[in-house]
Amino acid sequence: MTSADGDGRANGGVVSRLRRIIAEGGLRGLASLAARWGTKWSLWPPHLVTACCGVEVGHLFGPAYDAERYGALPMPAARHSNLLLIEGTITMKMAKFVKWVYEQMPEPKFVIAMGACAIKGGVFYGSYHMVPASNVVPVDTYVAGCPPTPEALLKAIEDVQRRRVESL
Amino acid sequence: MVAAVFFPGLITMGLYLILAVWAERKLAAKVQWRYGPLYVSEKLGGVLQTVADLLKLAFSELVVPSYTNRALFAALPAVVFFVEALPLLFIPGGPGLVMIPSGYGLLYVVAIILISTPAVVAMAWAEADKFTFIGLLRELLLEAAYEVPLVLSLLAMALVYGTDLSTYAQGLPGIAVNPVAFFVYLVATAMATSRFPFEIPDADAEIVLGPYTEYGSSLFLLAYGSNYVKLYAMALLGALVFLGGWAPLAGIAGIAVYILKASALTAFWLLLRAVYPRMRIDQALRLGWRELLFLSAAAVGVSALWRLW
Amino acid sequence: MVGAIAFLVLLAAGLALLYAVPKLFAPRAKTKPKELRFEAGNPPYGRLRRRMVIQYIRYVLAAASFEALASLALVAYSTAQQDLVTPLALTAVVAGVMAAVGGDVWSHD
Ligand code: SF4
Repeated sequence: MTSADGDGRANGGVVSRLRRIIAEGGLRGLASLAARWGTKWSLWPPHLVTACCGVEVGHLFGPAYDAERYGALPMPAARHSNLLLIEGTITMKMAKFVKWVYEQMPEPKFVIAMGACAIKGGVFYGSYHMVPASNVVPVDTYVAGCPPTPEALLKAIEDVQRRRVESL
Repeated sequence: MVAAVFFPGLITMGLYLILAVWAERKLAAKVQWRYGPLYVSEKLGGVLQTVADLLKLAFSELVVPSYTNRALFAALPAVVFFVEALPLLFIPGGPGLVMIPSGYGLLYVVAIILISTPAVVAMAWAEADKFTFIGLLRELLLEAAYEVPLVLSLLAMALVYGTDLSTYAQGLPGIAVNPVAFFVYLVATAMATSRFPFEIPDADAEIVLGPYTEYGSSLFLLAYGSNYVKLYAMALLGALVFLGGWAPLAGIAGIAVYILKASALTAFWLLLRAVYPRMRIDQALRLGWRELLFLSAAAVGVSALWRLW
Repeated sequence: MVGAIAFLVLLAAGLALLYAVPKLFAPRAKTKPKELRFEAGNPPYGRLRRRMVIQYIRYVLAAASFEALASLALVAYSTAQQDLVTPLALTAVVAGVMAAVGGDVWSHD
């Protein structure tokens, strides 16, 4: 397999990089390159609004912030999406469904935990009925704030693109 | 061979799929004061977005759940895609540039277009969940709304030019001969390809994605892409029958003109997404059986007058 | 004809490729929810196929019968060269019956 280090593009242009990848990893290397590039620019979150942070996600895809510029497209179902946006508080009751949706998404998939609630409890810190997102699903990126601004979410999407997808 | 690989055939079809999906997202974004897909290839305005989506889908896990018939579940999207691509066999891309030359080309095309609905219904049935089941019913009902006007509008054109598709580029373009038939064709095609006011079978705000709900990975690509293949075939057919196809020119330039006309029609259908709300199923049915049916009957009348005169 | 066969074969090959790529290259992880049907984030519940919406049955009936007439008009015209009478008569039947039905049904809508 090829190494997918972030500074791979420093040595040489696209063609020489491609040639190196094919020489090192063969067809599999090429496939992994295509998969990484495609996944990077096509992160589709399903609708899973668990709390008030969902309103900011509405902004995220609206005219002002427009996450579609990054190739993110809100999808209605888990089956054809690959980026789980956990939108705020997860109660014990909801955690079951978060896990269900996550497990129904096809591989490869990524998780952004959004808001103080998803990180550690936020305004509900210490509540008997609250779980942090990382206890439910493996989280790739956190976004701080209550609620986080849409800019912060864009940053998180970029972070998933740069850090997580590139190192698949 | 040229027809199969290059013009009405595979390469143009593939490019059309990529560009149409991108154009749809871009047009909707423009109307909503957004940019739409951009950073994937900033200098090109994000044209590569569809390619990225395609690669993403093709390289993600192929889930074939075990609760239903797995073979049918996996095979039917490809069948639907295949069936939707079949009209291209009979649509000429220029003088003599046709895969199967036939005096009855128009009839074959109409028959295949109407066959594709059962394929979609079979697909939704094999997926077997509540949303696909509702989507299936809506697909059937919507076909009940558009098929008679669609057939009648094409009949109106056949009354003037016959059923050999290669003759349509000679003489007056169909829109001048029979504007009523053209209008009916526009609306009926918007229904047939579930363009916007009639995006009823896969209304994603109501029933997840209708017949496409269960598919991920390349199955989703096939199932959802088939819709755009149908749009491609319908745009080519419309450009030929109503706009004169390659009319003033021939050869390569003729192909360019033909593609331009088909793209103009496509752009109209794509723009509908941004400007219309969705109709209810009963509104669409009533539209099909009231206004559209009588308009298409009138179109047949116009053609008859044209012939008698 | 060669072109048509080439088109079909190449198309089928392309579609087959789309099955092969995820089979060969995609990561895989079997989980229980993936094996079950999609139910908007819930475990599957209740009956799947319900009764059809009967209020639209008149449209389905109309489509089933008049679609045949409309196609018949098209076929009749193309086989009996230049015969205008059959297609016009059939179209008139479709429009006429719909108008007659419509006068009755739509007055209640
Ligand atoms: S972080 Fe704030 S805005 Fe987000 S869910 Fe918690 S309380 Fe609501």
